[in-house]
Amino acid sequence: MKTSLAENRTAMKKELPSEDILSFRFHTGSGIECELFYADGIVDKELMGTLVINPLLRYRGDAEEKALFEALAFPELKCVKSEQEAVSAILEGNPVLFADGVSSGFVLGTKKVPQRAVTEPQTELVVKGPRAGFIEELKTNMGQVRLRFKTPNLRFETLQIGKQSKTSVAVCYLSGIASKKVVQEVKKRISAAEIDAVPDSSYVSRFLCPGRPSLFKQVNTTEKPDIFCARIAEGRVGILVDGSPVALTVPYLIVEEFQSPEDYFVNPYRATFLRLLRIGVLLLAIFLPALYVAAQLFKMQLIPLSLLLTIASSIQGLPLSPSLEVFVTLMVLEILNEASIRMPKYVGLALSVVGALVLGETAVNAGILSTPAVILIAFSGIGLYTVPELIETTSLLRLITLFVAGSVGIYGIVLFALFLVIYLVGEERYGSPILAPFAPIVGNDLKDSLVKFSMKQLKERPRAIGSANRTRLKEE
Amino acid sequence: MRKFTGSVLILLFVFLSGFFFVNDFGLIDIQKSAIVLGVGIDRAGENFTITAQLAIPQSSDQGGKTSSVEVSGTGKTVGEALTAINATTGWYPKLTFCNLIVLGESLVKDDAYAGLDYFLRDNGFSDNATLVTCTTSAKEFLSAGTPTHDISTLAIEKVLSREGMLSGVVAPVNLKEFSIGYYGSSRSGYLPLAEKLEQENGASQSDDQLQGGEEKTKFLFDATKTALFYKGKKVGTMSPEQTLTYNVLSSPIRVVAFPVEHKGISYTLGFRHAKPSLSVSMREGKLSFDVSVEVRALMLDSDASNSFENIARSSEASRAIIDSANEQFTEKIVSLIELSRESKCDLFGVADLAQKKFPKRKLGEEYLKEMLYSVKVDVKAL
Amino acid sequence: MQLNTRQLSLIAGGLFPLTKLILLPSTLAHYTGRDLYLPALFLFLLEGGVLLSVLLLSSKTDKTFFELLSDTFGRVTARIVFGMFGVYFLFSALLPVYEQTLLLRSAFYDTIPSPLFFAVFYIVCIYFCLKPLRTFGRCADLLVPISSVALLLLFALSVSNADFSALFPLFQTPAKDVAFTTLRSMPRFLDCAFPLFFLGHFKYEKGTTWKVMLSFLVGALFVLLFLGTFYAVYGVIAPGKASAISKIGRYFPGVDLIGRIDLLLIYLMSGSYFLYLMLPFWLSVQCLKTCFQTKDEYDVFYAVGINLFVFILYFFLHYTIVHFEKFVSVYFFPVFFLFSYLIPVLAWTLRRKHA
Repeated sequence: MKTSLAENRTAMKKELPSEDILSFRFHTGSGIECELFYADGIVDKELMGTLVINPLLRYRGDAEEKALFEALAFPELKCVKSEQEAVSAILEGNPVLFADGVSSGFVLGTKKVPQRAVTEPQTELVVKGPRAGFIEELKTNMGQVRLRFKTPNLRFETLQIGKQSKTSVAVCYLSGIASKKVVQEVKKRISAAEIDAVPDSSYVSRFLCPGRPSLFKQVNTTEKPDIFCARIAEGRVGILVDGSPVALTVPYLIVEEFQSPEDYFVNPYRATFLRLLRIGVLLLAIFLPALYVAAQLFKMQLIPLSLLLTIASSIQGLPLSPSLEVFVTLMVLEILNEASIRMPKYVGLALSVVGALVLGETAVNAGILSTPAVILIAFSGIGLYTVPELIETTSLLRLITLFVAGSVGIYGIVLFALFLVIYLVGEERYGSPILAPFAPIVGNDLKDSLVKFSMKQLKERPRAIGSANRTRLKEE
Repeated sequence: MRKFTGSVLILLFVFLSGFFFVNDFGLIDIQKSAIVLGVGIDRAGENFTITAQLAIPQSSDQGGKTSSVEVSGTGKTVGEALTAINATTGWYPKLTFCNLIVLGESLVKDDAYAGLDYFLRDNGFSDNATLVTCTTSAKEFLSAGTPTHDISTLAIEKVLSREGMLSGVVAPVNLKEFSIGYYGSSRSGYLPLAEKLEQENGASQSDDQLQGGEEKTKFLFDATKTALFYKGKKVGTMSPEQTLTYNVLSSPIRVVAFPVEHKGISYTLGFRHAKPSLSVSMREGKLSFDVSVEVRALMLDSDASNSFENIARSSEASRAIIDSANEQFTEKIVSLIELSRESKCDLFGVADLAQKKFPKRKLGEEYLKEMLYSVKVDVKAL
Repeated sequence: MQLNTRQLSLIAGGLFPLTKLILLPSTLAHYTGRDLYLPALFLFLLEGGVLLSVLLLSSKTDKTFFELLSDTFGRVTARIVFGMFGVYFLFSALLPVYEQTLLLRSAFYDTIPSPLFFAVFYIVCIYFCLKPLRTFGRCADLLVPISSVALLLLFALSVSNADFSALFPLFQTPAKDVAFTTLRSMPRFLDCAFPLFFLGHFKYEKGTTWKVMLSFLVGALFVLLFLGTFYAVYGVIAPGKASAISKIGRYFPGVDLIGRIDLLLIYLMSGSYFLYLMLPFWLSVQCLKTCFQTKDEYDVFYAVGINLFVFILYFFLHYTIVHFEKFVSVYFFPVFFLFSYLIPVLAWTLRRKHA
C-alpha cells in the first residue's frame, strides 16, 4: 500500500475495473483527502455516511493511522496493509477507506447484502418444534447457531473456497466433544479443494468426501438450526457455506434419515412407532413394485388366489407385459414429479388434473395400464416421501430393483439387496461406518436408532461418531 | 481395474435390460398361464383322463368376475394328459394354485396312486391340496354347476374346509396326509366321498342363465360319507354317522351334532371337548387296540316340544339321555373298528401305534382281524 | 482387527446352520428314516470339537494361519498349503452353491429357471470376493438377526402341522446306516475350517470361546430340531421333499388366506444364505492370493476366474444336482475330513508364540 492517495486510487482502479466498484471522495475537517471504495449494491450507504463520513468530516487531526482509527471508532474496523487484502475486503462487501498520507487502508464493516427473513424451510416441515431455518447469509446462520450454544466451546473456523467466488465456509464444532481428527480432516479437505466457484454447499460436500461418487448420501444436510445444533451436540462437525441455506454435517450415518426432530418432542413410544413406520413404508415403497412384477412373472404363489384373479382380470387384454407396464407407470410418475417441481404455479393445478385424470384414470379405461399397477405406483410414490431426504437415492433404487425383478425375479431382488448391504457395510466416512449402529452393531447407539428410548436413557453420545466426550446426560 | 468399473456397470445394465425387455427365457408368466383351480382324474383302461378346471378372469368391460372352464386331456400318464391340455388350449396349466384333486370312481377301483404320484413329485404342485373321491366320474363332478359359488372347485373346497371338520361332518384329507398313509406301514387311508345332490327347485338361477334359455341344473355337494382305502384301492365306505364318530376320535372338534334315540324320541346332542385316547397293548398274548374317549355333551334339540325350563337349561341333558348317548356312541365306535377290520383299512393307525410301542414285534398281514379291542366311552353332560 | 467376538458368534450360530436346511434333511431321511438327526448330531459334535480347538488356539496366539505355517515349515510350504486350500474351498463351494438351485426352484420360481439367471449370483459373489473380511463380519451383524427371526417364524409356522410321534420309536436304524450317512453328509458340515483362516484377524477377548461355542450350540440345536420337525411334518414321504426349508411352513392354516407368507420369510432368510455361500469363494481368493503372493489389484482376476469356472461348470451339471451330490458325498469325504477337520486340529502342532 502507498502513502499517496492517488497511487492507491490508481492501484484500486487497476485491480477492480468493474463498473459496480464505486468510489466516493471527500475531505476531512482538516483537509485530508479521503476516498472510499465500495461495491455497489452490497453496502449500507446510510451506515457509511453516519459512521464513517460524518465523523471524518468533523475530524481535525493529522493524516495519521492511529488517530484516524480512533476517530472512526467503528465496531468492525480493521487496517489492511496490502492491496490484495483491500481488494478482498471490497469484493466481500466491506468498503475500504484510503486517506492521503496514510499507508494503510481501513476496512469498514458496513456490508449489507439483500437477505430474506428467517422462515421455516419448505423441505423440513414439522408439526411440533422450532420453525427457524438457515438463510443464505453466513453470519446470520452462524448467529443462529451461537444463540443455541452459549458456550465458549462452540468454535467457528472460517475458510475460503473457490478461486473466483472466494466463498466463505465456516467449520463449526464443539471443542472437547467433536473428534479433533474429524475437524482436522474436514478443514484439510475444504482447503484442498481446487474449484472456481461454489454456488451452493452441495459443491462443498463433494470435497468433503472425495473418491467415487456414490448413490447414497455421504454428508448429511439440513436447513434447520435446531437439527444442526443437535447433530453438533452429538459430536459431529458442521459446515456452513455462505450463499447456501443448506448446512452440512459429518460424519453421516444412514440411520439419521429415519430420525425426525419431532421424535424428540413426542413420547418415545410414538417416536418408535413412527420410525418403524418410516422404514417399513420406505422398504415397501422400494420393493413393492418389484415384488409385484416378480410375482406375476416368476412366482404367482406369492399373491393370494383371490387377489391374483382380480389382478389377472385387470390385466386382461393389456398390450404391455407386467414389467413394462409397471416401468411405464413409474416413468409417468417420475415425469409428473419432475414437472410439478419445475412448472409455474399458475399452470400447476391444470396439469395436476391432467396427470391424475388423464394419465391415471383414462389410461386404465383405455386398457393401457391396469388399476393395480396405478395403485401400487401411487402408493410407492407417496411412500418414498416418508423419508424425503433420501428421495434421490430411493427413487433410483426402486427403478433398479424393478429392472432386476423384471429380469431375474425375486432371486435378483434378494441378491441386489445383498449387494447393497455388502456395499453399504464397507462405506465409512471420517472413521464412522454409515450403517452403524446396525453394521457393525453398536449396542449403545441402538437406543436411538429404529427404536427411540426416552431422553433419560440416552445418556451417552453415539459411539459410532467417535466423539471425544461420550457423556451427555449425567445420572441423577 | 477401477477404470473398468463404469464399463462393467454398463455391460451389466445391458445384460439386465436384455432380460427385462425381452423377457423370454423359458418364462411362463401370468399372461401365458392357465390357473388351474381343481383337477379331476379318471381312468379308462390304460389311459388317464385329466379334467382341469381353469379360472378365466374376465376383463373389467366384461364384468370383471372370474368364471371357469373345464378342459380335458387324455394320456397314458397324468403328465401326458396335462401336456395334452397345454396343446389344445395354448395355455400352460399352472398347478400351483390347484387346491383340489377329485378322484373319479374309475380310478379308485384299482390303485389311486397310479394317478396321484404325479402330484407328489416336486413339480411346483402343493401337497396341501384337498383330495376327494366321488361316485361319478371326476369330469362330471367338476362340471356340475352349484348355486353356492360360480366355480364348482371353490364350492367343493368350502364343503371340505376346516369348518366342516370342526363340526365333524366331513373328514377332509390333503395329499400329504393321504400319501403318508399310503407309503406308511399301514398302507391305509381315507378320503371324503362326495356326492352331487340335485337342487329341488331352480328358483335361484341367475338372469343371464335364464336369458340364454338354458336351465343349467344346480347341485349341492355332500361329503359326509368317507371312502376307505387300502393300498390305494377303495375298500369300504363310512356312513355319515361313522364319519362323525371318527372325527370325534381323531380330529379337533368344536361342536359335533350327535343324534341319539331315547324312548322313541330323537335328540341331538352337541359333543364338545372330546379327549380321545387311542393306544395298543398286549392282552392274552395278542395285540389289543384300546379306545377310550371322554366327551362333554350339551342338549341341542329334540323332535318333541320341550318345556321352557328344559330349553333354558340346555347344557343339562338328562342322565338317561346321556346313558343312551354313551351306548350309541360306543356302538358307532365298534362299528368303525369292525369296518376297519373287514376292509383291511387301518383307520386308526394301529400299525403305527404298535410299531412305536412294540418296535421289535412284526405284525402279520391280518393284524386287524387278529387284534382284540376295547372301547371305553364316557359321555358327560357339559 | 477385522472381526469381533459378536460377529464370530453370529456367524457360528446364525450362518453355519443355513446350508443344512435344503437338501440335507431329505437325504438324511432317505438313509436313516426317523433317526435322521443322529448323523447330524455326530457331525455337529465333530464340528464343535474342531471349532473349540481353533478357538482355543486363537487364545494362544495372535498369528494368522499363514504365519504359523511359515514359522513352522517355511514360506514355500505355507504357500503350497494355501494353494491347496484355495482349490479345496472352491471345490467345497460347489455342492452348496448348486444346492441353491433346489431352493430357487421351489421358493423363487414357479417353473425351472434358465441357468443364465444364476449369473447374478456370481456377479455379486465377484464383488464380495474383492471386499475385506470386515465386510463379511458386518454383513453378518445386519443379516443374521433378520434371518434368525425369519427362521424362527418359519419354524413356528411348521410346528402346528407336525406330528412328533412320527419320530418314535427312537434309535431303530442300524448303526452302520447311521455311520454311512454320517460320512456321506460331511460335505455340508465343513464350516469348522473357516475359523482357521480368521486366526489373527480377530481380537481374542475373555469369553470369546464360550460365547462362540454357545452360539454354535444354539445353531446346532436349531438344526436338530428342524430335522425332527421336518420328519414330523412329512413322515415316511420326507425323503421326497428336497428343499425342506421352502416347504415346511406351507401347511399353516393362514397361508391360504393371506398368501405365502412363508415364502416371504424364506426370502428374508435367503440373504444370509447367499452371503454364506459366497464365503468359500472369498476364502479361495484369499488363499490363492497368498499362494501366488500377488498384490491386491489382482484379486479381481482370481475372483472372476473362480466364479466363471463354477458358473460354466453349472451349465453341465444343473440337471444332475442330486447325482453330483451323491458322487461328491460318497467318494470325496476323505478330502473333506482332511481339510476341514484334521488340519484345523493339527494346527495346534504349529510353532506359535504366546499371545
